[in-house]
Amino acid sequence: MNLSAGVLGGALLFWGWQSGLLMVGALLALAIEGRRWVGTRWTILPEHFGRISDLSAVLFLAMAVYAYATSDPSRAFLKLSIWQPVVFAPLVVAQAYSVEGRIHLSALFVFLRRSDHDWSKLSIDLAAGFFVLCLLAAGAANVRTPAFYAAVVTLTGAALWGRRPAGASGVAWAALFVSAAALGWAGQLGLNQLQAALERRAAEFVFGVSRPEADANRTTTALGHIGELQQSDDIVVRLTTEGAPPPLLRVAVYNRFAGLRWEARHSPMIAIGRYGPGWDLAPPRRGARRATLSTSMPGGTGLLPLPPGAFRIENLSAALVGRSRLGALRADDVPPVVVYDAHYTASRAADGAPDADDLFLPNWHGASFKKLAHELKLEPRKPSETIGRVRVFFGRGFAYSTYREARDPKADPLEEFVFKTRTGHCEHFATSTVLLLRAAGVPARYVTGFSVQEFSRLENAWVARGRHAHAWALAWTGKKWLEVDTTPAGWEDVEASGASAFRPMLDGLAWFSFRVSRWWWGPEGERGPLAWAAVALLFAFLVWRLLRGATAPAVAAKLKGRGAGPVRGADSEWYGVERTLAARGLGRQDWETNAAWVDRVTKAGGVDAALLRAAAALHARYRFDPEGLDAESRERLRKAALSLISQQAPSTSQGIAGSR
Amino acid sequence: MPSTEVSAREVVLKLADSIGGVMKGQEAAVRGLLAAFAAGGHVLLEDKPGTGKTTLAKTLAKSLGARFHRVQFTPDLLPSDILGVSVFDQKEQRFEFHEGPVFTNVLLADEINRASPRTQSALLEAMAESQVTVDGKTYKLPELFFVISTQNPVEYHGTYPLPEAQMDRFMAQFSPGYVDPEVEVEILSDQEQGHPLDAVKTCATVADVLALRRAVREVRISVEIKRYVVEIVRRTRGLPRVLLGASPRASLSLMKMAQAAALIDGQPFVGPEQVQEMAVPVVAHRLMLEPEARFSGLTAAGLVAEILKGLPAPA
Repeated sequence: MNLSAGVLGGALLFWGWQSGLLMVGALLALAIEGRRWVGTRWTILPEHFGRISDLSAVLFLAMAVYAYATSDPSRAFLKLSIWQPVVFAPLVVAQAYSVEGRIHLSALFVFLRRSDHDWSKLSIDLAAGFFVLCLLAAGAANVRTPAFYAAVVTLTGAALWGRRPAGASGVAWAALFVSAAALGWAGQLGLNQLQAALERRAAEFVFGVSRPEADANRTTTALGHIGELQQSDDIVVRLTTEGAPPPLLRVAVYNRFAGLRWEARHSPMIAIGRYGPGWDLAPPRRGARRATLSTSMPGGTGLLPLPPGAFRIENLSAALVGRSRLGALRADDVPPVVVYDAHYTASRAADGAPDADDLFLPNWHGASFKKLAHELKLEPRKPSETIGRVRVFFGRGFAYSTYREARDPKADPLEEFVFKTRTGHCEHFATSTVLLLRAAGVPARYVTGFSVQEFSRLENAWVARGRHAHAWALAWTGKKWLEVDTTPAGWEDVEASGASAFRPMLDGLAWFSFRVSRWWWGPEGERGPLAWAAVALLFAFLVWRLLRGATAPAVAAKLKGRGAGPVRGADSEWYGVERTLAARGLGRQDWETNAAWVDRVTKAGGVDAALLRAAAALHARYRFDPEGLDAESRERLRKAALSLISQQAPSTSQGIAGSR
Repeated sequence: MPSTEVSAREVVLKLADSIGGVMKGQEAAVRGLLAAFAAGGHVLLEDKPGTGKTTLAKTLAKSLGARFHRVQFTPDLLPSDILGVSVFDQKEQRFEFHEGPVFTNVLLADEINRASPRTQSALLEAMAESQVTVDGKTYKLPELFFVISTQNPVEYHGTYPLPEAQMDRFMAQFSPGYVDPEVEVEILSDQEQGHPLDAVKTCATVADVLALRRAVREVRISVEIKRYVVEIVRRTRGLPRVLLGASPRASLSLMKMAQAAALIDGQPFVGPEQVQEMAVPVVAHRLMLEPEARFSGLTAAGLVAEILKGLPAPA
């Protein structure tokens, strides 16, 4: 171990203190520092280190499974980081009590163990790495006190003290170190402030107008689409409520029609909060109802479908939630499947008072829609009367269809819909309604979302599919915004007629997948027992592997080079001779037998040939004769090898002798 | 070291001396031949004409106080010419089996690749099971039955290459090769007055050889060395440009040859040195290379040597 006495123990105690696992830290510290009082050391072969490494790997896996099963991904990573000293402790303890005091590199990596190349000569000291790991794990506990920095500095100083340059003055070194620590403190304060400033700016950066928000800021319609409009049958939103569900779920609201596109003007996303149990969108209201919604967000960000009139959402696992002036709600850093509760009332939530954008008519539609409004005698009237007349207008002689014939390519699809074909889909109806209301002087907006109309017995929930995506209008009555859906009733049947015959089976699979995802990403309480079961299963597998490995006959072991079991005579001092001569550039090739190597070395000269041959013969018996060596011959081998080592490198014989 | 092994080693050293007196400069081939002989296997000597293949075989036979038969293989040789034939005895009114030359202790099958495959395969049962079956009746061969075959790799006209199954029956294949010029001069001098083969005297009995073979089986071999043996053979199976790798019989033969080599070295256990030394003679002749590989100069012996260089030796 290349660290001074007590440094690792101190780091472990510090880690235990910070992570709340003081007892574990104290026990590990005692186990590692105890080597200073226990004189015995064991010869631990690379194979044994490999097994201990496997144990660490299984510990890591078990902890990862448990952490990710009982916490959300971000917290699970921190939890897993905190436990790392426990994961690596078996390896460090084994190294502390091994003869060599180092670990063979091949033990740490399975691919090195399986490699045909002999990696057993490469070894590393884990002490320094483990020390750093303890400090990092202590940091993951995130106890933000000045004591943390002081302890880190003290421990680092203690670790580096033993490695300071040989000729340097201790006082100068200490002064330099204290200066560096002071600079570090100032630096970390600066970094802290920088982080806070960046976090403040984060919302502006993430939701700012500079970043194009395709969903919340604009939507391209399919008004001009020729032929059949294909819609997905996949379930997009799931909804459970007490009693009847809201008929519509809002996703986004737009106020400006530009060509075939609706845009949300002057409606930037404003952050309304970070992690939290709930977010208020409007003041609480009486007679509120509650709906639990779930939807998928593979990209970790997206707009939340909400019932109109939603004033509060809860239990949403999101890092950041933002809301646009027009009422779209966006969540960032969410799991792939989000589940949340929405409180809503039948009376409408405040969507912001109307402005000039809500009366805007594009030039190319203005005249025709104003003419239509005049023909329909929509003004001057009360807004509610105008809305009623518009409903009546679209309720007579209009038909729903997702199919559009290829007519005059120059014709405006919207005007064609209103004045000629009178056949179209919800976007035609919603856009025409908004424009007609505006032509009549009633502020109106265009809304996209879902229609809730299908109850799934399998899931015992309301579901909205891709083909249930809908568009409708919002009209200002003078006091509040009113949902105006002029699409003829029965459009759902038209959409459903294109559903696949395999849909029930696909729905079953989707439901299973959803349940698994929800278990994985949902609230922690749902996962506890299963997580323990997974950990128990993992350990059962490990025990089975260990027992199987212990009882299988050696011949049945994998015939993979040296990985097939402990090596006989691996503690032979002969390997010290080999290393000593290798230092002279006379190393043995991997494929070379000892006899061939001895011949080569003898020819090179500079070594007691007779003694070398005698030691090689004894080593060969020790290694390859199933009867082994008697005590006397073993001692002769040891003496011969040590004698050869001392002849080659008199000052380092004790350090070099030892196992392979 | 137990006394039986000492005497067994003495037997093998005496044979080596005796053969070495005739076969100058062929120590490696003699050692290999004796190792295969002691391990209870059969040997194929393949080399150019005049390199001493037949002399080597004859010297070994003469050094043993044992029955020796030589069969010159030719295209018209029939199986019955080797195994024997049942002849009807009119006097006794029954068939009587007349043993062929295979009923011997040492059989020299000279230029074996000149005989037809039918005749070659007649040797298969004899070599593998030490017995022959003629007219549905099985006859046991002597307990000491050793086949030395020779073949000439240069001549291809009128030859029938040995099939893989038969190649696998040979424990090892050696190529004595040309000797150094100095040694060749010595050979000329030795044969000025007569052939040294004439002076060879019997130096071991059948009983000695059977004891030698028992002693070889007692040479200890660790599991680690067995793994090394198996790994060498196993790697021949996945080599590119090799149609057929070595069989488990090759692993068994390599182990036995290494045991015999260890005994010759006076070592009561097998080390990796003996395995490496015997790997090429035991494994190479069992590999079947793609024709393109052979034309590009690749040899089976070269491939086995490459395997040895790519495999860490136990040390």
